[in-house]
Amino acid sequence: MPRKPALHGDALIGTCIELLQVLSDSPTQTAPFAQTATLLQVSEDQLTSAVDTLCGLAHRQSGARVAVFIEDDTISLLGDVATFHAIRLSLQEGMVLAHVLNLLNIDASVRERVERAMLSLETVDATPQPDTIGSVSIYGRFYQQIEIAIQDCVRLILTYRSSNDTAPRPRTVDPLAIKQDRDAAYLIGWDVEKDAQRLYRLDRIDNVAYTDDSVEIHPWENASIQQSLTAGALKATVSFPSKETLEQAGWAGIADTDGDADQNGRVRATVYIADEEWLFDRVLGSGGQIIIESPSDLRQRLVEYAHRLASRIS
Amino acid sequence: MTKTPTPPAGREVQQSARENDRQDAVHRILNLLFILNASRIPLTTSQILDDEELGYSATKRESAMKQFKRDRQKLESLGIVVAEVKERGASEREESSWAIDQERTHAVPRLITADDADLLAKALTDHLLSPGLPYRRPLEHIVAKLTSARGLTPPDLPGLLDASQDNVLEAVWTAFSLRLKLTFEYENARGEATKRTVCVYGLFSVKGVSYLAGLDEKSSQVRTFRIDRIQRVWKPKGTYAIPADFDVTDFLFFTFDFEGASSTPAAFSFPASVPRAEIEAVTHGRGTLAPHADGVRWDIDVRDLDAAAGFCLEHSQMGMTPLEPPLLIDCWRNRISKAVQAHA
Repeated sequence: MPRKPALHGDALIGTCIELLQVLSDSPTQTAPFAQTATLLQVSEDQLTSAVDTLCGLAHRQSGARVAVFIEDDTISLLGDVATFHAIRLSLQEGMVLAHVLNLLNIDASVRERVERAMLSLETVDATPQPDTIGSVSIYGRFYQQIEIAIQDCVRLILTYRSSNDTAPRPRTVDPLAIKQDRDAAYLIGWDVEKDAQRLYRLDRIDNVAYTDDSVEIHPWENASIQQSLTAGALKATVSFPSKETLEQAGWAGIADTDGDADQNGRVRATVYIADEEWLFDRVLGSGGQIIIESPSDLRQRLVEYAHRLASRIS
Repeated sequence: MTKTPTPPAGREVQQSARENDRQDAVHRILNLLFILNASRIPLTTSQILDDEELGYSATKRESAMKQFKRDRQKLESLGIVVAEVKERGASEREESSWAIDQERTHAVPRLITADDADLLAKALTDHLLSPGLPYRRPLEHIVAKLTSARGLTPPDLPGLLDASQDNVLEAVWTAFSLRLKLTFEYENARGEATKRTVCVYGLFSVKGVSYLAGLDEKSSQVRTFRIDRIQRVWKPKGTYAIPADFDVTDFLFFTFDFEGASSTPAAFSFPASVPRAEIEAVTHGRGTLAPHADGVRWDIDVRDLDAAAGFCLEHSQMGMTPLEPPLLIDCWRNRISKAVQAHA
């Protein structure tokens, strides 16, 4: 990693102010040196130069000075003359926070308290600005309720639509944690009726209700999302029109590719599929560009699925 | 007559003098903050300008006043509001006094409950795990401020894998937040590199990739650029304003947004049994959703009907079906037919 340049100008001013805030907000007015450098996104040399800069500040008339020093890997601020507590978020930071709270569907009362506490007063009372920060919501409508249940160890009734269901249905679930990948956010939970660990996509949850029961202890498996989605999955060989198409697909179940492209530029890959209709949708969506090479019965079921689909529209 | 170039030694002296001026400015601004913060009563203009420790007194009064004003503006840009304080009934000729406006400057963490703080710290940290966030840096900053303000231990935040992308993201965010034009070297999907200058109007991510949308000076059009294809950035400069009617949601693109000069209205349906959140995740909040027959209808303009048919087929499992125009349905049937032929 290349050495970071010395701080100067606005960067140095900003770092000094943030350092004072971190120290002032600590009950002991101290902070671990290395962790503070990481928190402030500066190198240790840059943090040291910020401490040196602060040490040079003084008020001649009162004789007050900033007393901050580094000892035994800890930065300390002495006295209260230099304490400077957290400042409100900037306008743009406020926009990011508002966007993320909206994405996560955090309820209005929490949002209002946070905005009153943290946003610049001009932002809180201002007319709405153009929407300039965006992302696709993958968290569904119940992130907050689920996260609270996880923290409080409360058993849930989830009304959930799995990929095989035509409509959502209720399940009793002990929630463990929320994880996410590129395309979706999932609740790792224990299906009480099935007595097994499951992944639930947050955007497929239609309702969440708290029960009066607490979660029980379960033999959780610490699997990645990819491992969880493909555990016990069907194995297939799929060919793509090019290496680029394969890479752009970004499927979680692709285990390995079959070497270089053939004479037609096609590339084969071994794919593990938990849900064959998911694969069928992608094959049909490609208009014949992506092809299931094996097993043959999977190819046959694709054709049957395609016929059923085509009959949706008479 | 050719101009005699400044000898190297003279240039070094000039650079050294500029560096000293910058250091002096840093010291002066921080010291101004310190004395205002430390003082229990507002300080008068004279008390501030005549303080030798600060450094205003070395210049002429008028210059010192202008410098003081610029320093207040600098502090305000960092969120610290220095307000003029005048006693009620004071005459206009009386000297101004200055103090930090506590209400406008400082956060009020006591308004956030402990449960709020726990939920937010977890939620924002969870969201930081999303790949390709264009606003990663300010979000880390927000998490740090929130936890610090509540006296909580800051969470261990996941680091970016690519340090060079870190610098690019920071430059993009700085340009966007300060509304300064960003000049960068961009490599497109074909590997061709061009230099662009863009007024960044919006930042967004789709499928784990971050993008910026903005007015491209080269084409005079609003374009979208993948941030991970930016190879090099220059210091942002030149201000601009974002048009009031700009909406970044319009840029959360689909595969059917890219071909063709004109767009065609298209409609799709979803069964009523599909959770609304799932439909919204698929539709990106674009177009319009309305009740239809025994389900939900999604109306959206598309540029490529064939790609739109492919998109619809990829979501067949959730019951997505094409409704209009007839050509869209033909493309949909055609794709199914070709896939069946490839597996016959």
